[in-house]
Amino acid sequence: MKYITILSGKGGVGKSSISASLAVMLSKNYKIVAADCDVDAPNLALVLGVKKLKSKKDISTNEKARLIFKKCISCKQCLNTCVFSAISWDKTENIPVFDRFLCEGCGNCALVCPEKAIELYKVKNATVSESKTKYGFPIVIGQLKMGESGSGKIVTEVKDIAEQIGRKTNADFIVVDAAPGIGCPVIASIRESDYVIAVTEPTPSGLADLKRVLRVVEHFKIQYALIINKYDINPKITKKIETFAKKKKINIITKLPYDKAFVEALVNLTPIVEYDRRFENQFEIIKKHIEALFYE
Amino acid sequence: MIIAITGGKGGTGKSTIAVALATELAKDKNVLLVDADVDCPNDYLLLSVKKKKIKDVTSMLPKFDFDKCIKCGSCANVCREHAILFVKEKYPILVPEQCIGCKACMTVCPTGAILEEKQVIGYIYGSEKDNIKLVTGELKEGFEESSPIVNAVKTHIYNEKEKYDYVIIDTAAGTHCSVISALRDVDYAIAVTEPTPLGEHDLALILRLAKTLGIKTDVVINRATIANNKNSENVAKKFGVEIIARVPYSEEILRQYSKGEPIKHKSIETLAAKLK
Amino acid sequence: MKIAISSTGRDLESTVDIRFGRCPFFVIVEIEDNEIKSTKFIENPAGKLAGGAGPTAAEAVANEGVEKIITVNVGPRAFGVLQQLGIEIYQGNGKIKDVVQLFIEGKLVKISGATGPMHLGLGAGRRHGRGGP
Repeated sequence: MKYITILSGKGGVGKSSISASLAVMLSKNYKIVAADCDVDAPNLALVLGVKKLKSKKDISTNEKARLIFKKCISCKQCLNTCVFSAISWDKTENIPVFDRFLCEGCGNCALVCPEKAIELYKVKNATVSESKTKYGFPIVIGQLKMGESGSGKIVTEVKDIAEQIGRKTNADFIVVDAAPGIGCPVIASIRESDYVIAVTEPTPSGLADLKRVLRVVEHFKIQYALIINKYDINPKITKKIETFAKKKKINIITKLPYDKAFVEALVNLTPIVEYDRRFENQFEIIKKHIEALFYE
Repeated sequence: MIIAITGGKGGTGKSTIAVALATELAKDKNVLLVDADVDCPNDYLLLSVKKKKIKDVTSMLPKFDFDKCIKCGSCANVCREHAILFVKEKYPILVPEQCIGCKACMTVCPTGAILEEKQVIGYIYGSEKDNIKLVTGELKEGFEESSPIVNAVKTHIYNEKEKYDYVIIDTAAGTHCSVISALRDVDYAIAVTEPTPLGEHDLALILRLAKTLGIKTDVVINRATIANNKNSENVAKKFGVEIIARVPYSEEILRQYSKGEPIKHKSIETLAAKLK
Repeated sequence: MKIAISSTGRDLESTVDIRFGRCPFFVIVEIEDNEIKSTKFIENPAGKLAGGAGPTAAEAVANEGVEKIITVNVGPRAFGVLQQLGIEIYQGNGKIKDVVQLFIEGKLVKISGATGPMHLGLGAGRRHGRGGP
């Protein structure tokens, strides 16, 4: 079972569209599990035409501090211990107030409190669900709850569930659609990946963000290759990306054009390979690339 | 007035709109543009300016004084991030990348053997172009926590913000902690979306977050001409927010964008006029 | 001397788990005079950990008094910790039983840096899209 992770640094370059089509292509010859690890804004299920999510389950990967009111002696010891400025003082009640958005659940305030009047409680900060796509393979989706934090840990949970399903079904690949950016959810997606496909577009931001995310991938010593999406919107920057790739000996698997069909496919909640057969060849190339890596 | 530009989905044009709006407003007002997408800050590219480092963003990192350490393991025991490891009869080991600088280890150390050091987790840059001042936050590659950088940027601009007519904060994609940090204490937010099912889905997420945080929000539909806007309109209606501008998808805008020029379009002028 | 091997199961017939940090079990094998003196299985406390699995796994094997480990991939953070603990890392894949034998015969390679998944045992062509240093 191999983890193939699709990421991009910059958002909106076509990660989910490409992940969905790659998943569909691979599923024609292999057993796969798709995992949507963009837990902030999960879209892979939508692109794959899954409208209703099944077996939703709340998970907790985070803790937060709260006051046990009757034990508090208003000594204010906790007030200045919080390095995240999550504690303020309620003058009328004469008690500390915890800001749930700022609290990291580190427990320092609870350690300082002489009366043990602060406790940590588990926060249900995400839901995870599994569904079957109409293309036959299962998908696992993580969704951060409104205003909650801890997306990195949720990503790990989503990958774990995908792996359990993968073990049961004897899957060959887990296709991971990562979040944009380079922070905790992305790092959690990259970890333990067998291969990373970085999607970029020829815009100044696309290239800058690609370089940033690739340095993170390199830190974890994971091999990767590129896909240039909408390559024809700016030939000059496409050339720049190609030069960069050549210098760094990075393989560019394929280049996809800008085409209205991509938007139409999205609107129709259908992966582009299924929506418009003209693009089958290109995804066949990506599939062959992966086959060559693992089965040659 | 502090305005956040956000949107949920990545790549809908948050930065493009933020930069274009700042440029438009700066024609006769003082504008501070804050790039709070610290994972991938790009506003400096869109403005075609160089960024000069103002300062490092640091977080507290424990340092063990082995003369005082009695190898009790308490520090490792309280560390919820598993950033301190303890093997019996050995000195504790720190994993700096996992440390969030909470100081819980210092609180429990019975011998005061933990000192405070600092580690650099990001940077704050400054740039200037015409009437726009740009402050950029950037997460150091390989580090995980984006929101401390956003908070540092906001602290940095706190004393300056009175000098400006408009402070525009460009947030990251998503709804996670760094976006929440960026949205806190703003007067108004603009959610930039695109008329695709993904854009609509994520628009609902960000509007719900803004509602939770009690921030008045309106919507800008970017690339409005690529598909029917009906579903985006429905989402806006459901949350009782207004669509205050529609930016079309055009060759001309794309050309400006990929050349690293702030985009110019009458929809941006309308948007700026509404804010004035 | 005690060694730990990242394992997919609870017996010597199991195979090496290619991940050091998030493998479900460790086999602790005590070797004396080139023979297996005892074996023991421990659950990897980091196997279910959401973040920072590698370093915590390193801590767990170190607490078993292990001097060397055998695995396939070690992430950069776990590598740093193992190095500080003075634990040597050997690369080996296949059945636990066979890998231990190869270790005794001195046929396993010691590794001196963090490894990514593509470096060994996947039949991966290195000419394909080799990224990174």
